[in-house]
Amino acid sequence: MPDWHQEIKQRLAGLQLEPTREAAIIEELAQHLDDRYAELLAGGAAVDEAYSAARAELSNRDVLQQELRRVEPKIKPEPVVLGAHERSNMIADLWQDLRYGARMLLKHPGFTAVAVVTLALGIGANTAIFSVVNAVMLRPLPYDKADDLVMFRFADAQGKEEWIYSPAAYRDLKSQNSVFTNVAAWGNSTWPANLTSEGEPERLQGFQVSANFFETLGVAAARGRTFLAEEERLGNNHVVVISHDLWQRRFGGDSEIIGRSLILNGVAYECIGVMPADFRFVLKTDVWTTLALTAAEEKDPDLGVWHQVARLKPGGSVEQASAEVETILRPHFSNPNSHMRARLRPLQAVLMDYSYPMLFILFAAVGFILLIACVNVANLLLARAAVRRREMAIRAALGAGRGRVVRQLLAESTLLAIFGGACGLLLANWCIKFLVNGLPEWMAAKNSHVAMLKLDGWALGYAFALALATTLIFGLVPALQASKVNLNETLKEGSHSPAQSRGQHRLRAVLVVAEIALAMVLLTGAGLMIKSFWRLTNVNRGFESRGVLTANIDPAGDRYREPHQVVAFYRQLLERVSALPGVAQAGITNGFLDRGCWIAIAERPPVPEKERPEASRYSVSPDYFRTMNIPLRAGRFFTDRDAAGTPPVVIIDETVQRRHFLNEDPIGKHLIFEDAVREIVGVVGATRAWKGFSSMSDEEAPRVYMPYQQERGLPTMALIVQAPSGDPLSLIPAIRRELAAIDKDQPIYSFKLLEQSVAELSVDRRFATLLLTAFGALATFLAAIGIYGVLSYAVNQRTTEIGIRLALGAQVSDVMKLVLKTGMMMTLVGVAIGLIASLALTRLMEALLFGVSATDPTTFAVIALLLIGVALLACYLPARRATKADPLVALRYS
Amino acid sequence: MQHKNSKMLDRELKKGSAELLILSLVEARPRHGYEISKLIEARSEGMLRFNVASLYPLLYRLEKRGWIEGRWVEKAGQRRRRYYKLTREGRKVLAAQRSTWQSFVAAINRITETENA
Repeated sequence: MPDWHQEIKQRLAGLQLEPTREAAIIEELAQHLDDRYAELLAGGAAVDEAYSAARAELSNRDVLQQELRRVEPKIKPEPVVLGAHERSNMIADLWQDLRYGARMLLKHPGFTAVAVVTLALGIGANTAIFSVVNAVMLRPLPYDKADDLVMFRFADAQGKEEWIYSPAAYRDLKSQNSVFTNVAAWGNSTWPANLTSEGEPERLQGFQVSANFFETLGVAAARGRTFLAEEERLGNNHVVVISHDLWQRRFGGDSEIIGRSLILNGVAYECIGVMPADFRFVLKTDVWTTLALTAAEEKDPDLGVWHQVARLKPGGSVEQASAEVETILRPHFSNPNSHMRARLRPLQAVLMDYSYPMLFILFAAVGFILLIACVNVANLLLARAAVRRREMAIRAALGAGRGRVVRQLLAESTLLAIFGGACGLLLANWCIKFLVNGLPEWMAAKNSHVAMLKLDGWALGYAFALALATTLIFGLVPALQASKVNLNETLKEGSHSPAQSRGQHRLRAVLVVAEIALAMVLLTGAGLMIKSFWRLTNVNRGFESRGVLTANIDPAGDRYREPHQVVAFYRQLLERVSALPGVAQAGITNGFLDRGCWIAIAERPPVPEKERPEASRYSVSPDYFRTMNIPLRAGRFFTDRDAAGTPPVVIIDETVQRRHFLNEDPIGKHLIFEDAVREIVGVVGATRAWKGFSSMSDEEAPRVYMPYQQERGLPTMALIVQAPSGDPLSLIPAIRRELAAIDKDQPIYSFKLLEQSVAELSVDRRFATLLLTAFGALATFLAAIGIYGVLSYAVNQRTTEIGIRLALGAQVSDVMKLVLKTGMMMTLVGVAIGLIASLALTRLMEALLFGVSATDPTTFAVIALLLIGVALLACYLPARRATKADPLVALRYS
Repeated sequence: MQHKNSKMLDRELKKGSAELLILSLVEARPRHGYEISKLIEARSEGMLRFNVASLYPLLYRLEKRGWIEGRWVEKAGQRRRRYYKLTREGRKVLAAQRSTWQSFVAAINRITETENA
């Protein structure tokens, strides 16, 4: 068959086509001529005849060229710069690299998809968690120059703390200091306010603050004004500033709200301002009023009312300020000669104390995931680099320097990272919506950035920076590897250059080991969290929460000034509620809001007050124990006869008995309290509850119970109703009706199942556990993909070897073992390194654990086995494929 | 003379109708260049013939306009060939050209029939 290529090429010569285009045209036309020639021959034409007839198809020299010139674009002449080195063409090169890279990626959609998805998972998870960290820890609080706001802490070298809350201490600090522009204070307990004007009574969350509170924070009211100094004085203090939320919710955003009178706890307060929508401080708050004290209260050194926040003068130093605060407040210390030191801490640092351990762990976890993702993609790239060895060799042979090849490969990884980053952002956006709903309320309450969390410019920038960093991490090593080519070896067709692939294989194995180790650490963390969560939800609390309904109630107003009025109210309420159909028992307690007290036994030698052991003190109604199913161990429960005017009594729990009456009968003994000496009449079972959100331990605290009728001044009480059959929540309307029959102005609020409250005690940990578990699973999945990829590749590389083995009589199980051994070696080394790293790293999460040590051997063992199991599965698939190798095919291959 | 006239007519007709011919031929299924040229020759019973120098530039032009799309296809035991198929755009163009051509032929027919009557 004649060769038409030269013939056609000559005719195209003048067109200056792009080389690839020219080659395609030549191929197509030559084929046509071949077909024609063959056809003519088949039709009986002589060879010369057929040749000239076919050649005539091309017409004379110019026709083809003329026709094509109208259609085909000319190649753009590239400027040839004499003596130019690479730098001068960098932008053009970069553009070319990116275009070429994009084409390569599109050509291998499977590889590209896996790499992009892996990176997207890593970058997405990181960006989402970063958004939270940024909102909580990095961005300044939404107050004016928030960095200058400080809080005080007083502690000695041993960490023993003292709180200085008295009004006098606050006044002294405010008037004597020279380092602050302002010192403000807020009540150290909330100010619950029953709003009774304007429809249904509602319980509002309130705070009492000093008049300069908002001024110190540097936040102005969105409507109206904040407090004036004279509004801190008794008589002038019936003014409130309300939250944006309350304004919208209760008053429908009424533009006439300023100046309106609100009845709170039976007293009229004038609404003077509405705060901005994003204003938050410490807790979600509906109303703020001033804290006005009587002259006697002002002087009371034991009246602990104030938390303080101060604004440093511009340029003021924290050390100097600390020293001055210490000097001013020393007289207020319980022991002025003690070694208590004042420490000033930025407000933000104080507020994020609780969030810190959880965020730190989550941030570390997503960091690990990103690393694993990078390692995985690096592994993929290494495998591809092996396939592309010839391409690299040809580039090198044509004069590409090593730097040039590395740049080309980095351009490809940059593209991957950019695609991965873009997908990661979409993922992050979705994750953030999930996070906003799941973050504990207390974390959101402190910082409006958290409540309004969204994907912002910061997160975008972070994702972009991550994408670039990952490019370097996962792209550079494979690029350097790939650019190191041995021209002679590689260009020899079919050569397998074993030395190099062994080096490369080792690198890939190292990466897999690293990946498994990282996954191991992450999974161990998740495992510990799961175990402690399980412990937490299955702990025996000593009371029965099923079928129990709780609600808060706090009679306020003129009718409840005297203790006997309050007692009468509760007695009436309990009688009515107990009589409701479906109610088995009803009781009241001050619930989780326990008050501390000291244990002092009258029958023993006196102990100085400071050395007395502490206990939690509860006020309860006689039926409280039955309602909560707390068992009686000795003596009796309270009765209605334990009232004011009868001998004071107390019930202790088993913990108190164990600690203080180990071998004696406590019944009949007496405990000394500030208000009375009380006879112990009963011992009940120990209970566990959660002691505030900051306390991560859940030990059985010693508890003592008083009959509520013998208490002077009760705090907010919880009404507890046991309805063993049916839905306790269905009782709510009936309970409301009974309450309204006694006093229609008393709100009852926060109806809740006790079971739900108990579950909420661990809600923030549930969330962290959930996230960490998800991250652990993701890490395992990525690590499994990594092992699978490396082994698959190794099996492919060793097809010949395996074929020979099989041909020489190796059993299928031998081959299986061979492959599994390779995989298991990597896994075991990874798990071992991971175990050691876990031992070191899980200590950091001790604060988040409950009932399980940070080095819990069971968890470590289970996680190691789990990971090995997953790895085994990932090894099994390539191993099985290896056993299917057909010796004949394998040998022909080589 | 006769011969020269027929050659001229041939060229003019071809020029106007060539696009229509090619689009029609790839309408039903993708075809490669040689197949197209054979079909034109066969169906016109030898009246119309395209050689390489005129056929391929035309194919490339149609491809560039986006009316047809060429693609290298490899079939077992054969050399790879470039197959052309009609695009959506091309389908619309074909419909338009077809109706124009039919009106044109109808008009010519009407004129020539009147003369003959």
